Amino acid sequence: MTANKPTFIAVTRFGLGAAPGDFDTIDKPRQWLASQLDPRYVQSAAPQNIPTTMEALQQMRTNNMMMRQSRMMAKATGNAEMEAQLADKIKAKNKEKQQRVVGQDAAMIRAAAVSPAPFFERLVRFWTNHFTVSVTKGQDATLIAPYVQEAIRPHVLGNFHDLLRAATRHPAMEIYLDNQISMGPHSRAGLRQRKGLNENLARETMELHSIGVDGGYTQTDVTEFSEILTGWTVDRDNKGDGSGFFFNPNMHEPGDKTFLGEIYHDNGVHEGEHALQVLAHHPATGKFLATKLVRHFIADDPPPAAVAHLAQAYNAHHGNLTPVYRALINMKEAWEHPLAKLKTPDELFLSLLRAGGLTHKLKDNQIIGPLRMLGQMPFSAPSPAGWSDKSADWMSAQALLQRINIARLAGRLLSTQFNPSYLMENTIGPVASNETRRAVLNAGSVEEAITLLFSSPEFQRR
Amino acid sequence: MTHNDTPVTRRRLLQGFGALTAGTMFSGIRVAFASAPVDTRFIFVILRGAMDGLNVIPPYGDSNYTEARNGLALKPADYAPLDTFYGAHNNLANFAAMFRAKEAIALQAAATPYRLRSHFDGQNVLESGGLAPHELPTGWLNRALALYGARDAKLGLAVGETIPLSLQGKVEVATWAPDVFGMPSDTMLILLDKMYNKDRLFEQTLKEAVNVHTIADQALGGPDAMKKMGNGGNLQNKVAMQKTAEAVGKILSDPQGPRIATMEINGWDTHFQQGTDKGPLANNLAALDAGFGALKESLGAHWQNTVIFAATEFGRTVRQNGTAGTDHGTASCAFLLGGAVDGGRVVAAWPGLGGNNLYQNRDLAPTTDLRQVAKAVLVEHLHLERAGVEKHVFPASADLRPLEGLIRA
Repeated sequence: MTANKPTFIAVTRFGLGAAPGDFDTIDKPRQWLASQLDPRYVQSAAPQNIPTTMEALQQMRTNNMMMRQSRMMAKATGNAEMEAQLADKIKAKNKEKQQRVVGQDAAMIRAAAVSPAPFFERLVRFWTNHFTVSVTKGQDATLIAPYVQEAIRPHVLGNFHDLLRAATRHPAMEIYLDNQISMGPHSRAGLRQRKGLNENLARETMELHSIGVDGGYTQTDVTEFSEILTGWTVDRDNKGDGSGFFFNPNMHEPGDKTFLGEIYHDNGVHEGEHALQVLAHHPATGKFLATKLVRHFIADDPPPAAVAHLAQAYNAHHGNLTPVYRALINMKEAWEHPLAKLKTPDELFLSLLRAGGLTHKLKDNQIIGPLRMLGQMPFSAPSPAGWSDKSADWMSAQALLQRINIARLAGRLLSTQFNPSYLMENTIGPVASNETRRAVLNAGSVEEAITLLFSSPEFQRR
Repeated sequence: MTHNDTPVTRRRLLQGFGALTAGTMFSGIRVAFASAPVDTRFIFVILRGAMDGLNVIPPYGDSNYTEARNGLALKPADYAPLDTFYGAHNNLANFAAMFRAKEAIALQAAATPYRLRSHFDGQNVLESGGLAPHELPTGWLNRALALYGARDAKLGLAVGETIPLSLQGKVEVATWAPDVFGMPSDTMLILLDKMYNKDRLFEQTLKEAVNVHTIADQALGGPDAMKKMGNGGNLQNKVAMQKTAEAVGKILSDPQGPRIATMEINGWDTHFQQGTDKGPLANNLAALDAGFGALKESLGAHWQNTVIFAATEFGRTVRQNGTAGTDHGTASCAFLLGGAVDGGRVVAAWPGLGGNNLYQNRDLAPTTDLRQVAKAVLVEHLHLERAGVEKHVFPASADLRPLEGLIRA
């Protein structure tokens, strides 16, 4: 085995963890990473059988219509039996939907776990988390997989502006951050319904998605940007351009707006389009994104020099992301301190799937169950800020016990397939401490050895 | 099998056993009744980690026993005599009762043909049935099942998330496991603690976790309280073992269910603070014994047609090591239990514990080959042809006689 620390770092810090054999085949780690910055992976490594956004919207429409009709009929006849039937129907529909979503979430995890381009998949996950949508607000979960497929994945290697635009326009985001109900107070719909602004999307687009909380905006900017974004909503009636986005002029606030010192004349959807351009190319955005990338890939407390370097790459390339990733993997800081960060549950579980070749042996519920157990159920981040990227937030007494329990589960599943020493060399070999080696090699059974291996700090960190 | 055609008995069982999930419970353990070739039941219990047989079935009648174990020997108060020479650890009360009822046998100084001291290789030999590790890619029990010929039914059941090597092979077998995790065993916690020695975050957090659980245990009224509340996955836990064994007994009792099962219990690797009347070995024995008792009870009338065979990959050093435990050795003890066992005897060609009697001057010497026991079970209890067993199940064992008189005629 030719494994060395750079290979380990490439595979675990930038990839999704080592699969047996990786250390033998990857001899030029930096080149291996660079080769994955290839747009063909947008399609070739994507999960299969994910519905399109339009299909998901169509299904929502059909379901809603059926429900509405049944409800009306039940009400009109006053038939108690019919109402009971309706309740059962709703229950069954919800259950069916939940199972469909579990299937889609599992399909996405499986595709990532077996991807030939794990660095690319890491970037997809990074940006999906950056542009978090979450089921915690009771939003329709069936839109989330199409969101990742259509809004995130195709733009990960492109320009940040396109990514920002696609995410902001997507129904999943419009719903999650309440923009579908935000109305210009002086718009036709606003006047008629006496409703007004919801600032959620405008604020989070600045604070969390682009220029950051220190990006130099005021409350007036938030309000004005909210007005700019009014009318950006979901294509519920199939009247839009086929993307799922619909601009409803009846909801749009008329008149001029002033946003970040610039006057926006009344210009419908183009106001928002321009604002996103401005935000994407704002100098604060480069710094904000660079900080997040460095925190994600290198250290909880991002070294300022590394951040400055990436921000500079972002600005020099006008928001094109691939050159930023190249700068990231060419930085010396990226190849130091191999175990600086704790894996998030998502990263831990993916690395377990890869190490044990378990991806296609587990049922959908067995893919999602462990993530729920570890506190990172897919697409259920507690806030629009997404899942934390700081190690401390993922470590607690119970969290560690659950991590050990997942390792026990893997130990049971794999005890008849693996030699622990082989598995150790092929996953953490280049960084395994004497303590870990002793523990794994002297364990009383293969099951215990694998449990210890997957519980070891070297496997739990990256 | 879909939920709808689940036999009523199993559906009831599920309801009474909240920790189990339908998915794992029911997957593929249905057997067409008419096609089952035998009405006997067999359970192979794998004791992983190398059990210290000398403190399980103590040869108290050997005058060298106490001295040879230098401080680790069981005292008379720690065991119940089985005969004038051997005893059974106090925590094997169910086993001892079955022994007195003549439905249990203890084997002493038994071993596989493997003579080195790697757990993984030792277990490989125990389960593959070969002479050397990795010589045979499949398990002896699976090859035994194959002798029944092609069937549309699953006769084998692996209790656990996965199929152990002993049941791996061409014949499809079912798996079943309770899927609730409790705290890791004390042994595992000690190993983790040592492994985390150089990583402050992991070390401190683990200590905290253990403290929290200790406090919770006390708050709930004793260390067993938590376990009673659903420590389901770890068979080293007495309650978990009891519940699991109960369920296994019921599954095997179903006329359409499997006939042969494997169970596994970890944690016999007692390198430090092994203890005598108390300690990790004693705790593991209590769990194992609870399993024996629960199996007998839940098998009901089928107990008369049942043999349980429990064996470990090898034994441990006769002498205590420097950390109040024992290191990897050679021969150990094994158990045969069940209504079909012609019991009430300790079966052993005792090699002695004197200086010259020890294997390589450190271990109990092996005088019985575990394959002799397994062969007897296959031929006399599972009614397989001896020639087929010697050709396919335990190759190169033709000159190794099945032990006689283990199974009731």
